[in-house]
Amino acid sequence: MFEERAFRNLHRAFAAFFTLYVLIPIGITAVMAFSDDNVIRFPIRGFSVRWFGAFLNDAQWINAAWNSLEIAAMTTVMSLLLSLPTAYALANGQRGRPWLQTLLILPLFVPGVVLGISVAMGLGSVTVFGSELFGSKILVACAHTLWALPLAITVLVPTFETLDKSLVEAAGDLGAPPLLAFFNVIVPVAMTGIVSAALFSFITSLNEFIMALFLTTRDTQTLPVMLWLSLRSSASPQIAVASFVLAGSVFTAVGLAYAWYSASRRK
Amino acid sequence: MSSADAISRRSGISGLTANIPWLLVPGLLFIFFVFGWPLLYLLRMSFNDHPGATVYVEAWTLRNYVFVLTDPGMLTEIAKTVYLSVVTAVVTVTAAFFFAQFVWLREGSARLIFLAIALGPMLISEVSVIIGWRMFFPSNGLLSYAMTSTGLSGQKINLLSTELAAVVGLSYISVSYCFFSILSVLNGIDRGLLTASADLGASPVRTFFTVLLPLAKGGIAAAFTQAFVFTMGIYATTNALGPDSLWTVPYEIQLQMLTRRNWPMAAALSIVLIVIIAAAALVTQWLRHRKGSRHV
Repeated sequence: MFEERAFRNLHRAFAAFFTLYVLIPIGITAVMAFSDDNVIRFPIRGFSVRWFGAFLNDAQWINAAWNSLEIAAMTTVMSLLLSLPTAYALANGQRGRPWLQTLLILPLFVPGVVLGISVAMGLGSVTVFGSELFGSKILVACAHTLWALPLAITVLVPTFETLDKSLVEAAGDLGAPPLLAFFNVIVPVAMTGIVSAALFSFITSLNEFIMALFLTTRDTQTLPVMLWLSLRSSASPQIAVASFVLAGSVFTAVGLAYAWYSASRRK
Repeated sequence: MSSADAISRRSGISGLTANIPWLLVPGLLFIFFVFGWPLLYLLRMSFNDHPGATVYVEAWTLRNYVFVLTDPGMLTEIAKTVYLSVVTAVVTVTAAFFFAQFVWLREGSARLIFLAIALGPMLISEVSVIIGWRMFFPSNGLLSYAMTSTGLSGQKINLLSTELAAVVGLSYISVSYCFFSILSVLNGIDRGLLTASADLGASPVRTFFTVLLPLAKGGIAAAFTQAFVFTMGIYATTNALGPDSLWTVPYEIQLQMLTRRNWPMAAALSIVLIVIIAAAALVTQWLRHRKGSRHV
């Protein structure tokens, strides 16, 4: 009896420790972003939003933040356009499915540094319609899609598998062309899966910085790339502000998706 | 609408179903052009030569591979990468397992809160993780302040640039993935088995080792592979939190690519890294199936 209680308390203490471990980097950044000090140090001597002001007035940081959003939006669109037909086919086809699915998910297990340099070497010298692919946002979005697509497929295949197939057949019997049937019948039913896939793609692209490091120039730099490059040169809380903004955008995206989800469930 | 029209429409839908492989074409084409082709190019690049000033010269040489696999410096880097990944995977899987077990035994809103906490590290960018821990470990960071102000330590402490800091940062990156792999396996286990074991007089420790652990083995193996594979490919966290002497294979790759501008060497190192990762994944997969078949 005593032994069991000791075991339970030990487990509780561990859970508290783990919670602390998860919250430390997040909490420390949120607090330091509001520090009034000129350097990052504890104890914090005063609080102000002056480093937010400095961040918002710095053209290079703002440019990087917009680049990040643009690339994340492009990645989300590409990932959805590619994953919807692929996941639908995988969920309905039987032949060679495990192999195909493994092949499509493979890029997720290749390190970012390897993907980054192989895309930079293999596609960096390619010119499309007279403009160089290297340093362009679209190339970064393509590289990010390599991680976003497998995630989207992993989310969407089970969604399409649980779909009632007679719905599609009924739509066809009633005269709906395939694409119309897809958008009017399948998409509404699979919306939760589609929103999750979009969210995963968006967050993956927003947070990724190793591939982007090899594929961007100073003009197309993303927010995490600029954070990484200024890690050692900058000692002021401004870096905490930039990190706070990055994490804040991710949590906003998650919050919006969650709000949509609870609103659609209430209907 | 004529019946013939309806039939043709219907065949449109069944035609779509019959031609399902066509729907795979865009995804497969994308994977080929953005993943397959660059990897083939990388493989070709690894046989090229790097005679000095130029980035590369076309050749068919094994010199890069011979260097990577025989040079003592490179071999040390490979060994350090594997060592750090194994240590990180063990630490991460242990932490993820006990937290997953904790969440598994909870119900209702407490469970939801703990799930949200476990999801946290997955949503944070690696660079933000680095920045967060870089404000915690150094001598003017939170840890040192907390230790000196509570009197636990008489002087400031600095744990930045240690292997401990590197492992803490690295495990933060894969802990969510490990947690969810293990939790999904635990969710398939009947909690009554633990009660039954306790009722039959087994101590919690014995129940843990003879009942719970064998049942959760599949999830643990999957989580270990995930953590190992992820950590093998990371250099930013290792470099920014770990000691300066801790050079790993991914760090060497970016060094060759960006600083030395030796593309063939960067390519050869990448291929070696991929081969090590694939071998590790295959070995764990094989061990899992072998052990699984012995028990079932």
